[in-house]
Amino acid sequence: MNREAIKHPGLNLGEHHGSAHIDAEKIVFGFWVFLMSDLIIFGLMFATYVSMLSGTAGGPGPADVFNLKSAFIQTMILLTSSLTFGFGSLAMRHEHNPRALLGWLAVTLLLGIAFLYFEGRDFTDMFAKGATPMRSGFLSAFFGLVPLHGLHVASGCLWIILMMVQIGVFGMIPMVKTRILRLGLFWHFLDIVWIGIFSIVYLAGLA
Amino acid sequence: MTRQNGTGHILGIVAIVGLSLLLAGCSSDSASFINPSGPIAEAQRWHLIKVTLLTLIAVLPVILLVPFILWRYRYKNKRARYLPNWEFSAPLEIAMWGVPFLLIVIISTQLWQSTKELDPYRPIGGDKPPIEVQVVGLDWKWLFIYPEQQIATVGELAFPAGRPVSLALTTDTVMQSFMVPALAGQIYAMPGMITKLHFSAPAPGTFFGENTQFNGTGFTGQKFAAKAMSEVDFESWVGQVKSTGLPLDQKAYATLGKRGTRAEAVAALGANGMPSGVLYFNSVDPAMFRQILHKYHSGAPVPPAAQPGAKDYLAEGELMKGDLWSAIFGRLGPNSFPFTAAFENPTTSDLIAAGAAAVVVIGGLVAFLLITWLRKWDILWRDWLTSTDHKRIGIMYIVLSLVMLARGVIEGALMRSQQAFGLTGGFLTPDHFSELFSTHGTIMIFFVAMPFVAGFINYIMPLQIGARDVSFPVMNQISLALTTVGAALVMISLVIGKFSTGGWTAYPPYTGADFNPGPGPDYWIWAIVIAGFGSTLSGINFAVTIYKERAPGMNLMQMPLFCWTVLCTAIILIFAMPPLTVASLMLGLDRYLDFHFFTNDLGGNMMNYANLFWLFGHPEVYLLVLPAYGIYSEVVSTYSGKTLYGYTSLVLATMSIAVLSFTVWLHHFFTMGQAANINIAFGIASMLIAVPTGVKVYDWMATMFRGRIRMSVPMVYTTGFFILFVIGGLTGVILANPTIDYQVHNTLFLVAHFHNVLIPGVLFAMLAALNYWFPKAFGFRLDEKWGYISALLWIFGFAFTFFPLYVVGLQGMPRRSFSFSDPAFEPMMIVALFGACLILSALGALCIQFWVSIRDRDSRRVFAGDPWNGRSLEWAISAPPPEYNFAVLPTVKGRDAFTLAKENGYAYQSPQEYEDIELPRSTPIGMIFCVGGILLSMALIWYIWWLAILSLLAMAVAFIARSFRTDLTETIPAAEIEKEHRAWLDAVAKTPPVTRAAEDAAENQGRAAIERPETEGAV
Amino acid sequence: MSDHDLDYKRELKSYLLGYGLALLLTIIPFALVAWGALTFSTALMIIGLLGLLQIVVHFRFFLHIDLSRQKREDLQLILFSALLLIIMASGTIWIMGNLMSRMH
Repeated sequence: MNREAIKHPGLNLGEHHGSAHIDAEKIVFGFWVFLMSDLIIFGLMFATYVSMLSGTAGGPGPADVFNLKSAFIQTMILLTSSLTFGFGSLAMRHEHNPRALLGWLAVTLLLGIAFLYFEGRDFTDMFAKGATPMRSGFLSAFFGLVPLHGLHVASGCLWIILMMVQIGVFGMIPMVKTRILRLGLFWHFLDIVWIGIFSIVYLAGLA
Repeated sequence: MTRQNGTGHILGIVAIVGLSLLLAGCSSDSASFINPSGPIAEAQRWHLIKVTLLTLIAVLPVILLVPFILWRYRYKNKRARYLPNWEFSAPLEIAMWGVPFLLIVIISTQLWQSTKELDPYRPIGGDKPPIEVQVVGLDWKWLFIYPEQQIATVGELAFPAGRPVSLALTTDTVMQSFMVPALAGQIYAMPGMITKLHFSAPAPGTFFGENTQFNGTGFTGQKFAAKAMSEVDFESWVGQVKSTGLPLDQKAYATLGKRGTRAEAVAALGANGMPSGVLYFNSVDPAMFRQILHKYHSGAPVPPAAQPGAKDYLAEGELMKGDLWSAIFGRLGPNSFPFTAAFENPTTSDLIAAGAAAVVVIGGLVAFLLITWLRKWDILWRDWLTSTDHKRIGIMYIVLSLVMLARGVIEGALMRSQQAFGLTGGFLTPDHFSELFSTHGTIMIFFVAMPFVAGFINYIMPLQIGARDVSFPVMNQISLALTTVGAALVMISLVIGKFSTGGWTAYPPYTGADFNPGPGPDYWIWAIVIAGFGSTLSGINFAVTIYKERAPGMNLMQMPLFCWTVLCTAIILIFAMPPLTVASLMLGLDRYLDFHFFTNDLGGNMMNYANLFWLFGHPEVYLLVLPAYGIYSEVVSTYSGKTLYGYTSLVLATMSIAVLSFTVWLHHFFTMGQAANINIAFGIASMLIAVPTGVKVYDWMATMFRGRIRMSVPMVYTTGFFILFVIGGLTGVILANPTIDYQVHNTLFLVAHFHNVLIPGVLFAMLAALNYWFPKAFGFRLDEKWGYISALLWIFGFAFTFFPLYVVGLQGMPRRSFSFSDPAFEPMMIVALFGACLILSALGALCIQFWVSIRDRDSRRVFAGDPWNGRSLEWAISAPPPEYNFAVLPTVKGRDAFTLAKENGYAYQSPQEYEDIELPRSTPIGMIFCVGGILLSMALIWYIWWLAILSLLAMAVAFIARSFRTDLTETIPAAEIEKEHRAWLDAVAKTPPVTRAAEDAAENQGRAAIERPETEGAV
Repeated sequence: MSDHDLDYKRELKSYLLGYGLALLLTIIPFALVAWGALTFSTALMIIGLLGLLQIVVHFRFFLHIDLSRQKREDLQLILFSALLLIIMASGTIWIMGNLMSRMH
């Protein structure tokens, strides 16, 4: 296989698939554009968060409610899930047997769920301390930003489940492959957003 | 009507424009900054005059030259030089870019200086100490606290002449804007915040002051008298206030704060010894202002009851807990229907509301019965609602926008009527009026302009780049569905409940739960959010289509200019819709889940809403106007019989406008109190946009120059655009100057400006496009006579409606006023009403034009497909086009692809062989999203939670179920395509080519004769 | 070894390298904050810098964006988005910061 033909992670359509390959490129480009639009949403949530840092209204501030250990665990989980998804992509590209891909997807899904579990535990801890979004503008901005990312991860998990089902139903047809390709972009993109969250929200908040 | 008459009306327009400017320049009886009484307002006026004159250097040539060029290079004047391929001249380019740029640089230095000097935060120097006044905005009166004198007043702001006045402002309710036109202009006052304003009056006198930020039904009554007195008079005035005043204790303050007019407060508190309509207070606690301010910083929630002016929740219908009715129907009740109010207590306002609701219901019923009677449900469903064909989707977008346009125009006319009688109170209630301006704005921007633009992009852009469809046809259908959900919500709000009264910008805290707990703002939120998602998806679709679907051989620099503008619009859609989504969803979180993004208390900050909203709002203007520029480019080039002059310049200008549009948003809130440096930066950025915009106008003029111009209906619209739009540009440059904005912000001047940009800029383009591309879509030309009538009515209607608003705006009349008290405004308001009647007639003429054209369609057919001697690929196929657009994808060899083909003799060729074409199948997914979206939003607006969950689930299931389908395309066999294509080619061969002289005649069946310059190089 | 296997090895290495780098760039700032030895502004600068670096690492090794010709369109898109994001976010923080500082 020609090395220059590598277009996107896991895209194993290449020259064998002619028009399907072109279609895939179109769809993937469209998905990139969508992600960039989503990026602006996150960016504005970050900007709002930063400009509302002073709006604690006498309520708890970052140092009172953030948990560095938990943030670290979540970061590790999400980062590792990016790697496992990468392994899944490699399996899709290089192996014709979908079992390896299914396995890596399952591992990624579990990591995603684990991430959501730890994030959810953070939120319940905060609620217990009276740090609810109803308490202050600062907490509203926090709960506008971080759970929005969590919501994305949750829909990513649903998407993984859906793709596992579709691999079972259809096998590795081009339609399924391009979807997994986009799912991959989505998943890696969420990890990039998380870099912003742990840096700007947690680390800067606790520094 | 003959073509030569075009020039006649142009002269008429010039006359009107000149007259209006003259009027605006004259001083009036009203004490405004046109007739200033203090050094600040004086300087502001000088700055206005300077900027106007400087900008006129760039604007006047357009107004003077356009009529000349149109006359000199008219089609019939065969003596004029005709250079159809002239497209570039280096000296001209340098002048086109250089002169406007230089002008902007000069104005920028002026802007810089004056913004620094006239910064409202900057204390006025002098040897005398300033007098300090603390201003508290209440609903609907201003409270003036004199901390030094320990007195306070309502309705009267007295100060010694010759001494600087230093104001600190806040409000104890929603945002307001404090303004004394003759002295200083305005600044926002916001809860929990302090803003500052300094001014002085050299001589004694009385000036009017007001609030220009709409804040509820008593808005127009929130006026006061600013009185400059001699030092002696002032001392005795203080003495009088001290002796006759009441103590300003908690109880008195609570009475003042209650929602109500000043007269009501006077009636409740007034005492002897005070002038009528004015309240005096003594023994005022000097810390009172700080207390009002710090109430919102205490860290404890401030319940609506403790926010003067907030509404009592239960009165507005909060849910009764545990009630079966509310479990099923949420907060819907018998009072949610306007019919109930009209029946119980019929006033003009209620009858109009009930009438509008009846029109929606009856209109819906008639449409339903008509379709049933004609047995068209089948066709409607199969060919339209489930279609993924970009052409049908485009047409549906345009139909949607025309329906909404009718409503928007009628609302506009109603508002003009109300204001024409506004001196005596008019016939609408203030609430009804504010509902009208809120729906009018929301509709015109989101459900007229955007679907109109999206419709033409959908129909034309894929044809122009030689594509079979957009990249994602099903997503395209979903975009339309989501836009329709938003439009439907605005229509439903006529029948069930009420729409928001907070304007199309929906600024909190007015639209927050504390002040507006009803369903109105929720209607706005969901209409905007859902339609916004649709628009974002459209943007992605358009961008990818242009990047990936161009015909073989067509590089980006060979695209018709319209496609370039579409690309830029797509970029703006992708990046500017997110801020709107973020802002409106945050407002939703505040309202539904008690978040505190924009509330007065607990660290909320409504200024961030303004910031986010305009991050979207300004690019929005350009996403509308850029495709309009594209349309004008196509129209001018086609009807001048010339290639577009300065293509590269136009592309560059388009791109720079798109990027610059993201750097200017702050000019929508210059008066919020940020530092002068920030205002300067954004002011200069705003003015910079005028450079590429100017270049565009000059490029179009150069395109007409040495052309052979046919004054067709689209060209009449385009001419109207040239003349009127540059005036909008002039006022745009004026408004970009913070110094002047402090005076005209929130006045009708602003309203006149953005209508001046949006009506000639966008709406005229859409109407031109309608006349231009209608034959392509439906196979017959529109009637010219009624087209001309409609176009002229639009142009004159616009001029008569909006030029008077510039005048009263300069005189300080706030926007969104349902009534006014200055008789000087009345004549202008009556002229504006006359203009509104012309616009209504224009809409009527448009309907007649459709009717006549459809009636006579058989004599107006243009099946061959090229009625205007078009230049781009959409004219190279039949009219209407087959559903696969191109039997064989064209190969593009240069710009103006179809003209190249015609001139080099390879147009209308039959290919060697045909291939099967794969097209996406029809799908009901769009309709599922449309109905589901409406149900979901209605459920959310009315708190019907079971329905919300159900409809959300239904949409999710439909979406997932679709992802399991693999039979998504159908194939049209080559034989069928060949048969159809050959039949068309035969028809083309039989169609006699006509010259442009016969463009309007029945002989024009869609085949153009090639006309070359008779004598190349003649004078 | 076939071309195919070589490709596989190379891509696997790339993922692992990316993971290693990301790990490093995560652990350093977390450790710095946990120790709390730095002043706020220094810490902020280091966190921001390492965060940006990590974003680049993710784009390069997980999303496979590089300077090659086929990625040109994607790269342009990302850079343009970043430009607009910087305009919007920094503009917002600038304006809101200024307003807040003048309002009390």
